[in-house]
Amino acid sequence: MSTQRQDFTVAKARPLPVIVLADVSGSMAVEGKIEALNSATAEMIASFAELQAERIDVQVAVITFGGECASLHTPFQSAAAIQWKPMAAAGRTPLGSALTLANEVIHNRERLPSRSYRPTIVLVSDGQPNDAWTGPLECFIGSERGQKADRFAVAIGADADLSVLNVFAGSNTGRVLHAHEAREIRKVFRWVTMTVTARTQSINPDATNLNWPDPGDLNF
Amino acid sequence: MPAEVRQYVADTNGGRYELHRPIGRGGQGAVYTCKGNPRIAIKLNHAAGDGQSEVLRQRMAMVKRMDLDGLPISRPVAMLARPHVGYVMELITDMEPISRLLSPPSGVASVKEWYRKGGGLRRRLRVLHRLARVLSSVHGRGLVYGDPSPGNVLVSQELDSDDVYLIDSDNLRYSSRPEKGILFTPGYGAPELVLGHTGMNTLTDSHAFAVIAFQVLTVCHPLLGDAVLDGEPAMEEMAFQGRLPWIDHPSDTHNRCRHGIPRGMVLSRVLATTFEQAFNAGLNSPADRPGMTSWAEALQTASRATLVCPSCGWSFYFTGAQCPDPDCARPRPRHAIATVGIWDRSGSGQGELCMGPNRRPLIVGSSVGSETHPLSLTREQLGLSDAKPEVALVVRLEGARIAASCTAADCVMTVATIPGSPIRELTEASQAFRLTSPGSSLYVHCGGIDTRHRVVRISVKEGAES
Ligand SMILES: [Zn+2]
Repeated sequence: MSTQRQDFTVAKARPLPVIVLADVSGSMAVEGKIEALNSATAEMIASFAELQAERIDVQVAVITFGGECASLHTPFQSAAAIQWKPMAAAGRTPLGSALTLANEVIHNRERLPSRSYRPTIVLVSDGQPNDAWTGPLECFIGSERGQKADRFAVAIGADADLSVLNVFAGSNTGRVLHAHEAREIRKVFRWVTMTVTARTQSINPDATNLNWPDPGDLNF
Repeated sequence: MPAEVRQYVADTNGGRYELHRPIGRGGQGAVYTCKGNPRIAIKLNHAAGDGQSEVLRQRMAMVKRMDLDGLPISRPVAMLARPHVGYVMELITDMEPISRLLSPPSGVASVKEWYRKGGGLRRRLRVLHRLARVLSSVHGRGLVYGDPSPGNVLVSQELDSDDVYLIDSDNLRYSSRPEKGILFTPGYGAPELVLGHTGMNTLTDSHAFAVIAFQVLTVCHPLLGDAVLDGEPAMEEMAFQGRLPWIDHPSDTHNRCRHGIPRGMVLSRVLATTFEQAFNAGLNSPADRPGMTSWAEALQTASRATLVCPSCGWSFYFTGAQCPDPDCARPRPRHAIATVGIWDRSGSGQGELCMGPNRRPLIVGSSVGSETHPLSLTREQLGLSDAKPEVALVVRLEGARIAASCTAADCVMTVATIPGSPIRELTEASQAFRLTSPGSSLYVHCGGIDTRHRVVRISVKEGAES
């Protein structure tokens, strides 16, 4: 009599990491910004969960920076497994702390093995960072996975620090996207979703020569 | 909770639709179901722009002129209005993408249970046979389907149905007018497409089909072995370019795969050979690939050779001594084997079974059935006029007897214990016959003794337990 249940294994999908670095400082609490960011992020995660790319597992992590330091709001998980909890906005803009945390998160080899695709990283901010951020930024964009990543920066409103965001996005595959008002955040996130979706459908999702349409040309 | 996302599109006739769920994603866009209208689907392309829209409009006009009569292929209905690029297509209800049969949902508790619940081996073979037939008909009409992929092929949600339905028909082309242009779903494009050497043709269709078939049967991709799965992402591209051996290559073991269903459990000898042909010799040499007709025949023969385990429901080839599920391992049940031969009247003498070159009866086909799953033969198998896949002869095992019934109104079938000496006419009502001695057979003539027709020999094999 056999009591041991025998089963078959299937190949695990390859992780494609998407990290959102979300500014949740006090200024995000006004003009519906944090609400718009919450729903845009939730919508993006829901789209990834529906992707049905059998060989690719889009995994999302969300790092929030507000208060005194950054925190891992949503640890890396398959998009389909995420139970989204809205972010709340209050306090300062500790970008340096967020970048240091992001650096740890994307280089965690247990969570993201070397078979993973290169990450897409989205930094969202509406203001000036106010901790020591220059060192962590250089360190992050020069890191092994940080430099290979698609780095998108989303500037919300007129007070966003474009000089910081430009450095973050770099000049390769990166890009600074503008959401002049809260309701444009959704459109920008849909564009980011589209770039990730396009990667999952490409013959080589790690290729860097994919031509994204201009965010302005996109119809939703 | 996912955010409520409502997205509307309109067609050029003023119809307005709310997108519901994505059914599948292909090379250039996604196909969505439509809220409130289960009979249509919407293809929405990613790239917007007037150029794209015009190309699509011309393609759709071409597809509308193609002869797709009688084929289960969705036809385009209307173009989407600006700013969207895409079209509205026909859909039939209660279908789901074949992707559900080729990879289990992530975190599934048991792959074996999932495989069984999808209808097991027997249903997978039947569905793939139907798909092969459809693609073979498409090719027979001088057309190329273009992008067979797990999202474009729909199968019935009913497990006892093997219906298939192809959507996303804007990729259909005339084979006489080859077009360059890279359009395929990653993982399903033949190496020459991936490398940009050719456009789509019947042989790239065959490659995509072979990949889908291998995945549906074994639950692993034929080109993605451990070396690729555990390696850097760039290895995948190499595999799809045909630069690595296929996972079951007979001698080159560099890309073996530890995953999936053991091939011996799900591939008949002929199927194993056909896959080897497709992914070894045929991988980089398109002309060596098996065509859709070969696939259809191999799959049909295989599906007719399956028995269903009465204990656990797993289906397996009748040549196996026991249920291949090691947790069950029930001995093979008692079963009937029907072989179809050709009866012909030779010269002035009596009729006889036509002999093949090896001095054995020329076998046209065979089927097996058990006490739990009756054996049925179609008009096509029995060579009746119009050769439809409708059942014409049903054979049941009832204890020591064989019960048979004829469901073809236009054919007089007679039963004999010695070929050529009919003893009784078959009716629509089931009649039971006793075999004269163990090891003897029953014969069913599907036509008058003086005419050339097919004759079915039914023999009973005792279960492996006795
Ligand atoms: Zn069993």
